[in-house]
Amino acid sequence: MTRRRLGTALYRTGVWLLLGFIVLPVVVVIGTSVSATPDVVFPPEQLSLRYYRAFFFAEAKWQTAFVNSVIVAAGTALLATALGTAGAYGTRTLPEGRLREAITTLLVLPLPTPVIVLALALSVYFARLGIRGSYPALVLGHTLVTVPFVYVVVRAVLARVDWRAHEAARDLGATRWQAFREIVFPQIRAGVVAAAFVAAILSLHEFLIALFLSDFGTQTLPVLEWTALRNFVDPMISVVSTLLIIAALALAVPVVVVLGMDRLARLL
Amino acid sequence: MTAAVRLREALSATRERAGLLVLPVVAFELVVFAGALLYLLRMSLYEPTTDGLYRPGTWTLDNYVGLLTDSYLQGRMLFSLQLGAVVTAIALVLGFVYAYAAWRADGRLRALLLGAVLVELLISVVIKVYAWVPLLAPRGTFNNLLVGAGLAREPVALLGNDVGVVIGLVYSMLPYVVLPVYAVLTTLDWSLVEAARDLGASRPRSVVEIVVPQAVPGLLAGGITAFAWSTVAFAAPSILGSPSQRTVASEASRFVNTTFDWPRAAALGVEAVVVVVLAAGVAVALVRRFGPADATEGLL
Repeated sequence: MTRRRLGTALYRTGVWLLLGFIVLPVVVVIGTSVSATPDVVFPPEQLSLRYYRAFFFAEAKWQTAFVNSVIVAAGTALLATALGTAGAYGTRTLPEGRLREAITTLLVLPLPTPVIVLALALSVYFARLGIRGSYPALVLGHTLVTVPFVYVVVRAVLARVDWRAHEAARDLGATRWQAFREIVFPQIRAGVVAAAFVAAILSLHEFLIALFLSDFGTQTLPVLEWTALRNFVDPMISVVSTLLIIAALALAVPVVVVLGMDRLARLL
Repeated sequence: MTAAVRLREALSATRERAGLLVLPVVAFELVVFAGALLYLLRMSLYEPTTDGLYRPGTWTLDNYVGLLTDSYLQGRMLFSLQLGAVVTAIALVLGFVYAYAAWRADGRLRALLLGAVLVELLISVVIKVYAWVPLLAPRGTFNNLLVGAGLAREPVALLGNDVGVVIGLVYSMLPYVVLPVYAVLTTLDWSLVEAARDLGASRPRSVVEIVVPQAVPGLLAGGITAFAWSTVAFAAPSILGSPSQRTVASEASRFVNTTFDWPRAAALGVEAVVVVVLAAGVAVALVRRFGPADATEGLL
């Protein structure tokens, strides 16, 4: 009996330690961002918001990177959502069989591919096409790794649509487009927006593809953080990281509301 | 050509022309994904030049021969595979415990455990790696605690060696193991475990003998992802390690961005994909041969 109790206590402690292991780095990033001194130490010795002020009002290079990140994330969200939603809707109407399976496989294949290989391949390929370093190159690269998520989320949302109402509308003479707009789209709208938010978050935080495809003028925030990190560590990196985490959380809240935490955990 | 014809036939056979909506995304994948990978393959067969990136119009296997005979690069490949194996093993154990705890927890605790993993999943790898610097540094949080508690007389080296890189990578890989294992566990019937306990099995034994075998598909999927990504990790070895922790990804990046030896970088990239796919194939084959039935169903 005591052995079992000891075992349970050990297991509980282990789980809490693991939770701490997962959460601690986030706490450290936020904690070191409000440091008053240039040293990155946790817990910080003195608190101040001076590096936040510097980010918003003083440092032009961080502001440029911020604008680049927003442009690329917005472009990625639009393109990935358009392609992924159309693809999910299209595969649903295809007959079951090899073709449908082949298309699904093709769409999710970029996910297990090591990102460094994607970055390497895209970098060489886009250089040949003469677009490496441009916004379109970054948007295409980020769309490649976010489309599978949009596709999976919209497929899941489409599975819950009431298709009998759609059939009825078609029988009553509605065109395909009318039936889609009036019956189907209202049912999947929230899911499609959630998918777009997921794509935006992933793009904002994507690093390796952005590192290989951007040039000095199109660097995104994670890339500039990387460059800063290679030179010397200061609380500005914590500030930018904190802001990126806050942006991700803000965009994730509506996604969790629409899809539910448990469902999201099983989808991603 | 035949594929295009078959595609058109299949599409005309569909009840609705809505099936045509797959065409944009399929075209995108073919042009961007397949196009880039095929070009990488082609690049690896160009002759390198000393003054430019590659010599157009040439075909050669020299880059591959060079890779396989270069003892430094072979050493890096071996190190990368070892790193991937160690990280995957640790991540599988910790990830299983975490997923199991999330599955058994109820209400708020489950939401907390899953929420933490989902948040970590979203965070940039740069941030994940950077956060460990102030924790592991010689005068960092952990060393202050160790020295302060009298457990170490002087700071322990946790940064710039294998320890730092493994910690950073296990941390990064954990969500990719936890989520597929959790997804499998939610389909599992808890009463089986209860039955085993009623029949006298101890708690750990009931988990090891009943839950773990059922979780194999999730462990396999998570393990393959963790191995594929940590073997060719780039950020963690650069920031948390030293030159002796350089992976094949670090070398490929050096060829692309510093020495502009693109054919060699391409060959290294192709080699990395082949090695990782082979390793994943071996893992799937082993589980098919020795694992529980149906464990690999639904896998590619």
